Amino acid sequence: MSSLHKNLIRAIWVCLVASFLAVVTAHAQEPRIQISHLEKFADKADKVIDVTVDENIIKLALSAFSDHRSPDEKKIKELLSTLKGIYVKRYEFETEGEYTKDDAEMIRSQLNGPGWQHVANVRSKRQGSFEVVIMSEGSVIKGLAVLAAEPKALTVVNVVGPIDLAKLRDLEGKFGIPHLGLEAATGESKDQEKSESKKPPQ
Amino acid sequence: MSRIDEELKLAFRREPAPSGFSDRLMARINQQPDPAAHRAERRFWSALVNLFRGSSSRLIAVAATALILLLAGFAGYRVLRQSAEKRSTIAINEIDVNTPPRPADPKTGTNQNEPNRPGEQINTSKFPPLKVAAKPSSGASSKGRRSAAPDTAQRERIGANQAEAQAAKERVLLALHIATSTLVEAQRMVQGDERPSK
Repeated sequence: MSSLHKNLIRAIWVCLVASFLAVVTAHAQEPRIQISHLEKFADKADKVIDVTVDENIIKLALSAFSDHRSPDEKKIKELLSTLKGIYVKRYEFETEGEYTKDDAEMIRSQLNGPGWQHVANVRSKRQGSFEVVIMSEGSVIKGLAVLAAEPKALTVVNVVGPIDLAKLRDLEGKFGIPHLGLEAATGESKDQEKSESKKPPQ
Repeated sequence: MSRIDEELKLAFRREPAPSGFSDRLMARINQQPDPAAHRAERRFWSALVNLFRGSSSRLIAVAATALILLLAGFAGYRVLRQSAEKRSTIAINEIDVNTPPRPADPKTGTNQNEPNRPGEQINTSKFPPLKVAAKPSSGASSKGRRSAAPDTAQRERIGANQAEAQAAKERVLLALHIATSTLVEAQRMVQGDERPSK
């Protein structure tokens, strides 16, 4: 075997290893968390809410929204079009202690991983712990996760994909979206809109 | 003396070593490790280091190979992604975007397209199973067949797709509702309002 051929094979190996490492690093920065291990509570739980919405379902759902029907539909379509998935798992139990600390810890360890930033972390003896984390790139929120470990319930929410807070604020109180109180965070743009609407047409 | 003692004596009797045994043993102990095996172990790493040493032409060859491989990998990934996207968009394009507004619910009198009233909950009972429509085969789109195909079948297919899209929409809205409600719950906890919300 010629030395050039040998070198070529070595170079291929080096590239493969480098590509693998790059893929692993990129995957570690994904805002998707693994929550499949919670499915074991499906039989134990008194009430189960398990909603999995992936990119294909979002694309399919987008076709049911119309840009022309109402401005709100146009906004929610725009909001959803950037999302890559919404994953919700909530298990409600009749008694306390149905899930262990390790079950919540498995999710918490992912949320403590690289890229995630803790927005809120509340612990209460009576009501359990609530953790809100986001993964952002500059000013864009790439993903969001909420872990609510209550004494009788365990909830995990994972929103994957860029979230437009301004659009979410506009849709408060519509399409089942509750009032999130985003006025304070995005108040500037709202005031801007108001002043623009007051301007007389030229 | 018992029989067992005799057997043991027989088994453990002193036997002289074969001639040259001790010499062979000592020679083996003193034998140096095989340099060839050591060399083979080091060969890979030294080769890896040597890959980036030496002439510039070799470096260029390595860089070019790496670049070609990366480009090929990226192109392959894009092709795969595009074909997956094409499949899903074909399924979506079959559905009429301007679907008529849903009729009002006879029980509640509400319209799904209207904004929800404060305190209104999305029905979380059951969701119809979702199926993404399969890519239509190119052979079936011939002119002769299309004219022969009955319109009703096509309408039924579009109707089924619309139903699927509607189910997907409800599912997405439900997920969004639960996600935002959980966020509100967390927000309440942060603000120190521990009153039960449900």
